Amino acid sequence: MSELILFKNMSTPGFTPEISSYLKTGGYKTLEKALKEMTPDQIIDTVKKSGLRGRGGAGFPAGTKWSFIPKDPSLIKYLCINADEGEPGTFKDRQLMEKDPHQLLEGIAIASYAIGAHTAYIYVRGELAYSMKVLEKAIEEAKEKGYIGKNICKSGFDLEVYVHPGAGAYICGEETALIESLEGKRGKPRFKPPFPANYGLYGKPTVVNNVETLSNIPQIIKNGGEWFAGFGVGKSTGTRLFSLSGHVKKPGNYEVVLGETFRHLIYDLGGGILNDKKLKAIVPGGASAPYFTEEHLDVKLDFEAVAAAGSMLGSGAVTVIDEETCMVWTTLNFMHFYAHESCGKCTPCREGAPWLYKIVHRIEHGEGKMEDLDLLTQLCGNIAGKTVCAFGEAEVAPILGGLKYFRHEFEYHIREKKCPVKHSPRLETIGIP
Amino acid sequence: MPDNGQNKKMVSLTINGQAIQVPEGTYLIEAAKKIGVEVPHFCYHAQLDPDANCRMCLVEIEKNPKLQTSCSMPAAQGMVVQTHSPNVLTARNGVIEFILSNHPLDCPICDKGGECNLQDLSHEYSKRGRFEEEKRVFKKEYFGAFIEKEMNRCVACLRCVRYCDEVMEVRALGAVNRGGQTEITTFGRKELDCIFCGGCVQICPVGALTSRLPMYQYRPWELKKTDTVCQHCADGCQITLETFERTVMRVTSEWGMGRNEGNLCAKGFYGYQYLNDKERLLQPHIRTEKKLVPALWDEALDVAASRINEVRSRYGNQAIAGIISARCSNEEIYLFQKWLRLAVGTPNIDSTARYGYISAARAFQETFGYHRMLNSYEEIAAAKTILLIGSDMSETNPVAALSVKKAVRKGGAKLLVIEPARTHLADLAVQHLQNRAGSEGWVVAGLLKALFKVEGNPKNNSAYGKKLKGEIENISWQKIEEESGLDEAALKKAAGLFHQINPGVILFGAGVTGGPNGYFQVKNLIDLAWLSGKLEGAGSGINALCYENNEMGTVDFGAAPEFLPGPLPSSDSGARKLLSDHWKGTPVFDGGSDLPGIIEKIHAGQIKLLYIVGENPLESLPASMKVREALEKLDFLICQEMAMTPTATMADVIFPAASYAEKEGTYTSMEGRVQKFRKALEPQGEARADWEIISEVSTRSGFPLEYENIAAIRREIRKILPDYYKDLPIDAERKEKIEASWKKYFEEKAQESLTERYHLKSASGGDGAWTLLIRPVLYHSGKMSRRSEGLEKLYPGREMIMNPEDGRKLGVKEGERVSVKSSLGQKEVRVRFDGRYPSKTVFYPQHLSEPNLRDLISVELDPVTRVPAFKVGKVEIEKKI
Repeated sequence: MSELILFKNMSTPGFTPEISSYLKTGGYKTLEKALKEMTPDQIIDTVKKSGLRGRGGAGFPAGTKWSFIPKDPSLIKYLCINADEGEPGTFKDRQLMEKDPHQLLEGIAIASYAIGAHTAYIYVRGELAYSMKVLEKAIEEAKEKGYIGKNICKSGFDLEVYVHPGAGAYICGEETALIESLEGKRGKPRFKPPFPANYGLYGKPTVVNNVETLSNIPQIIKNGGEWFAGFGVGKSTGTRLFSLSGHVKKPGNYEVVLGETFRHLIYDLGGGILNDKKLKAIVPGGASAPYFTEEHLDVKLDFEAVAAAGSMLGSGAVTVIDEETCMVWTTLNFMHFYAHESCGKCTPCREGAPWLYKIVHRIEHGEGKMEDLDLLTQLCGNIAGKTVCAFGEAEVAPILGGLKYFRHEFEYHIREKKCPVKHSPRLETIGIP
Repeated sequence: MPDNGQNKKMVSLTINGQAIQVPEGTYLIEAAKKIGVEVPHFCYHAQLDPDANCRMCLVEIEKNPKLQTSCSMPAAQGMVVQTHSPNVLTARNGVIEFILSNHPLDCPICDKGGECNLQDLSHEYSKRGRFEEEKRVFKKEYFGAFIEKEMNRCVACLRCVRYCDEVMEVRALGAVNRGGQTEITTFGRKELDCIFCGGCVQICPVGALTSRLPMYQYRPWELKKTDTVCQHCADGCQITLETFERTVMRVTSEWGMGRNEGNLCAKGFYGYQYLNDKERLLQPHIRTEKKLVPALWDEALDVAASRINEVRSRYGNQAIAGIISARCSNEEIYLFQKWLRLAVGTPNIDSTARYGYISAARAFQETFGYHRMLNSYEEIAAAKTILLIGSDMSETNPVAALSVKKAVRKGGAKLLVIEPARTHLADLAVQHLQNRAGSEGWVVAGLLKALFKVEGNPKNNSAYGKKLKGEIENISWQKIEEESGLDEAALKKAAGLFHQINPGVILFGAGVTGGPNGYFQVKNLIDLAWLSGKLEGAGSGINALCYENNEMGTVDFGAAPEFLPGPLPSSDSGARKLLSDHWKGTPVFDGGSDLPGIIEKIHAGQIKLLYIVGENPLESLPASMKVREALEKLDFLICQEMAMTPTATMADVIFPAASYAEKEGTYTSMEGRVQKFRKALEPQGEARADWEIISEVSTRSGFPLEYENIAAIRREIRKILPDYYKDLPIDAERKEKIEASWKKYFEEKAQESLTERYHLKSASGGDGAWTLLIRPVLYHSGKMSRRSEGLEKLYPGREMIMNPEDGRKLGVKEGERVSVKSSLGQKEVRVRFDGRYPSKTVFYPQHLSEPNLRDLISVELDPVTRVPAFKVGKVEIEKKI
């Protein structure tokens, strides 16, 4: 792995999160260049040219998102950084914040300048106390050196950056729920339109970007959009961080040029399946991405290819599941998560998630009926696409994926009235409506 | 947020194949309504911002991969929408199935059964439910004595939470927990701390929130619905009395209807039981020896008629006087004054508007030739700045106050509140000028003084401006600060802000009109409106807030010695001629006495017979006005009353009066809307409508004043005042007249009283160190509310309210007694603490009469309007040992 962008600094021996270390790598030079030599439009153009797509899950082109912000200088605008890393299996943003916080801050400053925001909020998942500590310190350092605050690099551009802890809800990773939560309200997604670009935080034009997305910015501005677009395939440019977990020998975060295969990630980088067992399933992009199986190992790690194969690259969380794992139990585990995390705003999700959970729970514990499988499919149809946010689609993914590739396991549970895997930890209904 | 504002460009779209044009930004659900298509929904409500949570209103939009919620999707040019396509129906069936999955299906024991959105939509959209799991169960909970929460029936549309926040600005309710465990509850799960507007109950589409007052006593379809007007205050809310046989079961108000658009307050929603009062007077009473005994109508009428004639022949017509309550109908007020002036031949007539509103009415008539509000509720809601003085408006006029809340929330209006207590509206104000009680005149002077410092105001150099400035200059900032407790900087800030922003409105209440020199104070406020440019320009203006529901009618129909129906001055020869011609007689107009005058003349032996319709002066007025002694001195007292009030117990004849729910008529709201109230019930016992009684008494005393029904009186009124019943909000023509009138006033008359008006009296008069403030509370309007069990439960308090810090210094605890003393006497009262009242200012609710703390305040009569001021006074307070 030679082409590192995001992990480049932290892979250098002796690099620390301190600003002195970052400055030695030429850090904040790009910000200075951007502020003094580039117009906001030039920056947006560069990012557009780079083809950088959002790294939070939806993969929306970042430059395009920025270009939606009204140019009217009299309007207050905000940049929100989505560091509410909560998608099960995802742990990459945390590493970026803790190991190279200034790379992120430089990206934040450049992005703020590009969209005309003078205030940026980093909304950090509440559990990531250490990340917040590192960020707070980094912000202090950057302020001292004049890279954040009033008149940055004597350019006349002002920016304040604040760290805001989340309060424990998965849904606050959804950009409008994040905005609501920042405003001090219950974390619930807003209906769209209006979109945050017009009506965001406190009703003002707002961009919400993922930590990884913004961490790419300094290198893109430094080296040019074409340079970045030179990595990857098609519309999936640059590198991506993949959080590899589950039954692999070497779990961890890997920076991979887009266009490599799952096989490369799992076997070459991850060292293969734990205890050399057989692979049964892959969760290719966080809990919200339908399962892949062994037959998908050669699918390319690019947005389009994964979508064409029926799943999504999502948050970059790749969870590996070995042959000895019960897929009904796995699905139940996911449904437990979704029933627990549904915010309760929309009827189909609020009522549907616990219902799905209860049915899968019955099946897992040998009390299912064959009709349940059709019911599950139909209920999923009444949830997906019927809700304000994408949670509806996400919560049906494990069931639809499970029924697609592992229907026989569901049927076995129903027929034999038991789970074939003896030591599956039993999930209790505690806490579930 | 997209809004449904007018004056926008139109867009064309197709809904269910039908082309339609709507203003840009119109939500599809509203656009569909226009072609008669009702898109089913739970969470959408026209009064609230859309939330798009129930997902019932999903529609299919061409070229849109997903179904969209029509409640939140603005119509756009060229949209092709299907509201009932197969995809849509599948989704809706799904939503209903999801909702019903955990629903207890307890319709037979749910008060909402029969008028439940879920029940209705279930019939339309659900097939057999497939949910076989164990249902989620929440425990039933009560929000106080009046609201039952059955969370199992809830569809989590959050209308209640949103209404409480967006419309009421109360935020008593919230949602807690997540997902399927979402629960509506009170803030911090504490006891419900709200203003009991009933809005959450009314707006709940299902049976999750229901009223406990009539719980399990009715099924909605059994109730007879009568659209009428609320009688509690002057806001003029449209309500529906829902009755079963001879009982009012509940009050509702249809959304979007009436001046209140369906919004109500605690009195409107929970204050109806006085109509079912078991202690109503059911038959006439006559005093024999020393006792009041039931009598037949014939007997009572004959006694009354013969005593009236006796007094007339012995002492002259003018030995008779009449007082009518501002809660009577326009027709009754008209008839009463006609009877007195024409049939009895006495000019001695007055009404309860004398307690304050008459000062505003007269000042307005003289300035504007018009005495009603200059702004509509809509204009208040659209104002960009509002100055509220001398009124705890959300307590006295809770629904009109919603316009103020709306202006602040939706329009970002800058609200300035001048008020001793930290009221609900003060919390929403950009500046709360917390003045000393009774110092409103000084605050106005301070604001005027500050306004003259604003450069470039052409009015500063106008003829009247110069004179006014000269007068104001004589009042020093030091004196203003001393009297009002407000400093120069605060007053300058407020004046600058108010002057700068347009449109702006001034609202004032009983704190101004009912105070000493109320009449001058209103005129000075008009000066303020003039100088700050708030008499010109669309949407600006000055407005008096009335308290009783038909104070406007008492003025309109001349239930005052200074006014004749119109209202026109009683000295107006044209009006006199018009009435004499129509009445075909020789009515008496000159030399009438007002309420204080009537009391004085009784004491002087000049008035021998008093006829009171629906008023209880014995409790309303302080002891120092010597009402009891006056009533005792009378030869004869006749009362028309619904229940045995303290005044009625002193009567010689009592006629049982029908409640307003048992008769017909009209009331005129403070906004000037003449609205019909309708008969919902048969009168209790032998009670009769006030107008019928007046008519009978007149006829029996030899002057037939007969009308077959209320419509006949109305026909007569129309002949005298042809436009009275037309719904006439202020139109352009009226505006022009008003403008011409005040321009003339400022050129000619305003200077006449200038020196007198700004010769402000020290508000710190009296010797005590404490200020006693008597004001109404939201839950009570007096005898009606006291006889409404619900309101009594909501506000059972009998205490005087005190700042907790003062209480601590005094060494008293809540519930303990203190002694309140003035030169007029001493009373004992229990105290309750409330930090909203400033130090050394104690508050006593107006509806309470035991003890009657009014008696401690020395009454000051307004030198012009003779309004007795007794709402603010100085007292000494000591811990009771």
